[in-house]
Amino acid sequence: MSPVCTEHPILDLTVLIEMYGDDSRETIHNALSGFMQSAPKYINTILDASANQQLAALASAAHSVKSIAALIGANQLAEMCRQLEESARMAEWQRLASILQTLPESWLRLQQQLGEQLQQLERSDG
Amino acid sequence: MLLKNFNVLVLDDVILMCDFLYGVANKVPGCKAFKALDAKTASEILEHETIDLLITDIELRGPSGLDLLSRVRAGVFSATAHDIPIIVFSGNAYRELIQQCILFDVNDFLAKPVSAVQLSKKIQHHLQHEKLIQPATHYAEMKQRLEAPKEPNDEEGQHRFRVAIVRELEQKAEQEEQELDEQGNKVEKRDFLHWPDDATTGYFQLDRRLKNLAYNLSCFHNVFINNCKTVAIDAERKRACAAADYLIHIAKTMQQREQRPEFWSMLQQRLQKLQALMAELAEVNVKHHKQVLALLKKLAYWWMQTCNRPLINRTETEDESSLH
Repeated sequence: MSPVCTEHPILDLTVLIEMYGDDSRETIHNALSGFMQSAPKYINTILDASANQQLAALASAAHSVKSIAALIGANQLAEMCRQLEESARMAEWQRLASILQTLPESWLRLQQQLGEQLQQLERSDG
Repeated sequence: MLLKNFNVLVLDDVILMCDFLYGVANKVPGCKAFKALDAKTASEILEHETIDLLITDIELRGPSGLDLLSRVRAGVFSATAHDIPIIVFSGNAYRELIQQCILFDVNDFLAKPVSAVQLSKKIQHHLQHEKLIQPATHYAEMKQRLEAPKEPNDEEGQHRFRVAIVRELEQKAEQEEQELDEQGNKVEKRDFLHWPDDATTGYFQLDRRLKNLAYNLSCFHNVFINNCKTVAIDAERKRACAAADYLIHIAKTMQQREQRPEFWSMLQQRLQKLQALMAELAEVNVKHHKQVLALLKKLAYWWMQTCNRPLINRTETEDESSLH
């Protein structure tokens, strides 16, 4: 994995709380589940676009994920997408390939953490 | 102090971000938010709702945020004024896109992610602070120019920069408008018509149009008094007439959906007088100095009568209840 990306935590809820200005369970739950619904579509677009060498589509999808990942505190994915967007715009194929290699694993780990976090929130609601 | 309920439209094609922006805008005191996931939906809202502030991402699927904001500035939406504050999320947008946004006098550029607190402050700031916006025709012409096929030598690119620089110089000149008295002390040069910073009608839309009218009539006064060329006087006259037309148009639109009948009836009377004076201004032969001077005197008197209680109050000395 690119050293720049691993410096960042996978999920930092303090960021989410600061961004939303609200630490209620409802807000956190809505934001995380909203992300879980929105993000997969863009991640798939990134992977498809890279397979088809469509740089514009890749940059656009990375741009979208970057902003919502940063919003919920998914810092590692946000940083990864920032680098992806930048590399796609500058057509830096080598850098792109290196980041794309680590994207699926990073995304999987984030999904796991999000799942756990949502379960925890749902348990405490019950 | 302001009584108006502001309509804020947020446009972002990423659902989670759009919901976040919508939630923040809805929580700003006095604001009602509208949301759109694409420029087409946003256009429909701008057409049918009187939007007071637009927040848009610049990069969207389909028509871009730039395309939408240029249409706002060109005045194509019947329910929404062309001079509303526009906040753009530019992110890593291409430099050319940002330059074009500057040409359309976007009020602010933000980078995502922005926190709820920061965004809320920005919304409140832009709803209460004026940015000088040109008449809609100016932006309509610019939009047309930018959309026209590019010439090979890209002379247009040079024009873009020139426009931006001219605007900056205008603003600086405005700030530095001071002159020296007999003792060499700096004295502030007052405009022909002056809108005090702490004055308000209670509606920021009216405040900025009144301020704009004062500015444009003062410009006309200056070119006339300084015996500038007729073409310059005519240009300033046109701008002043357009500013008055716009004030009258906005007041008419707002009156239909606002409370305070006494205020609106009184304002309507003042605006009818203004309309008559501006019709005279549009027709007067600028070579007939006496006639123009007499008309300017009438306009100054109109301004003095209008910019007073009960229509206009001072924010620092009055509380909100005094407006009712």
